[in-house]
Amino acid sequence: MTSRDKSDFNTKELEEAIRKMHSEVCDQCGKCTSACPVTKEIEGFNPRQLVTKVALGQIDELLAEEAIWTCTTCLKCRERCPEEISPYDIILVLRNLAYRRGLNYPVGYDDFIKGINERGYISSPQQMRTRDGERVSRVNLGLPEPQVPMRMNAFKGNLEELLKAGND
Amino acid sequence: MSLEYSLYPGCVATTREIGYELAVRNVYDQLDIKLNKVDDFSCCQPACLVHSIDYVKGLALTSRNLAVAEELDLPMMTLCSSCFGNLSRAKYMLDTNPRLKEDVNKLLGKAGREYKGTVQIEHVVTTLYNDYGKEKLGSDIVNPLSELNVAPFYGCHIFMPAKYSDFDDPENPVKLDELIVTTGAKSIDYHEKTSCCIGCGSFFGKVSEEASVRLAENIVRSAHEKGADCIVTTCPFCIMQLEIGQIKLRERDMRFNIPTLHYVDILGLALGIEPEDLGFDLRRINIDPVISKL
Repeated sequence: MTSRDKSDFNTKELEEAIRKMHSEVCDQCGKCTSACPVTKEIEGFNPRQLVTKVALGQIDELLAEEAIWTCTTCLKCRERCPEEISPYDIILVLRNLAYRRGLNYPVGYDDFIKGINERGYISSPQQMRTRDGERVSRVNLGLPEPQVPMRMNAFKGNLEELLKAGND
Repeated sequence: MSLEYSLYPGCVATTREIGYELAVRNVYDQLDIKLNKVDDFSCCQPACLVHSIDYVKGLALTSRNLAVAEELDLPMMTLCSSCFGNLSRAKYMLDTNPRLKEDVNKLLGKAGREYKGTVQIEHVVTTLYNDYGKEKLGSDIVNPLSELNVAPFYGCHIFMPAKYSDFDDPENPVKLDELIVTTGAKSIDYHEKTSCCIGCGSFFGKVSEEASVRLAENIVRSAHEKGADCIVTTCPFCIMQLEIGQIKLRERDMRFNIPTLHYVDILGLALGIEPEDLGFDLRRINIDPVISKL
């Protein structure tokens, strides 16, 4: 077990969660793949094939593939599956497993999580440019100060732990 | 009795799409709908971020916002389709999975909070369509946009899958179309109106860099071919993707230049609100073609 395995939801439960997603009942109809915006634009990502690999137990192979990180989470595959299999949920669990096993995940995650840890938001309020090039802030528009999350301390500890684990 | 909500602006409207927050506040003021500022909301946590590496912590961060809204005992109104989808998804997951709810509440308990399940999650479109009502809205219109052909862009997170929120029929939605017609404008049917824009689905790698421009092209081209004067969205992520996508497409010699607006922008115009009070100076694509049709 790696040092990333710190959540209450342990790896065994995640593996169990994938088994409960019933990929073996897939009819191979391909509705998920025809709905998928990523399949159309990026080579090597195919939700129907992914469900088949899960049904065949080829989890290790899937975890090593970059493809599991290219899903855009649009949920169309889940909406359209006649068997109510959810490639989307399978992908989220595969990502969790890959992270725990210390496999690669996209560059950029750590900065986003750090930002949420520090501010509660994914970015700080920015000055926006008008089409004439003038810089405009919330104050210039007469908008109130941004809402700031309070009592985040409890989460900070948790997220810091997550970040540290991610930097192994 | 006038309507009242806890305003949940989300990251994008708070930090970048500030003209959108301005438009919402001015339109809701005019309709006498009260929006309360809540000094405790944070990022909704889209599924592509913390959920992707630690499911339970991601859900806890999302649900913290639901717990805050429950304490205030008012429906929360999101400005963003993805916030609406992510919050609705968290509610569905916790309400249908007691083990998950227990794990999440253990984390929330460390911050002195608890998710109970009483929260009501709304979006600009649901408050106007379901709560305020199309008929009443129609009677408020002073400046009907009868010359304007509008392509509604629903995106994906606002209603997929339907079991999370029951917003509208994901394959054949009508609510945004009907709200557009309420302003006096014409709503155009086109192929890509429920497509994914990738704005709030994947921040990293070749999906966000390359595929997002090609998807923007598909969406804008589809609206253009059906004669749209403008595209109207329900989400600050979608509008950024479609505007920035059009700017990037200029480098590939594709000049669509279709003005892209939030629904409250065209509603504001129809209510007689001045364009600068709707944040139009901040739109990234020139909106003169829309103004000239007023």
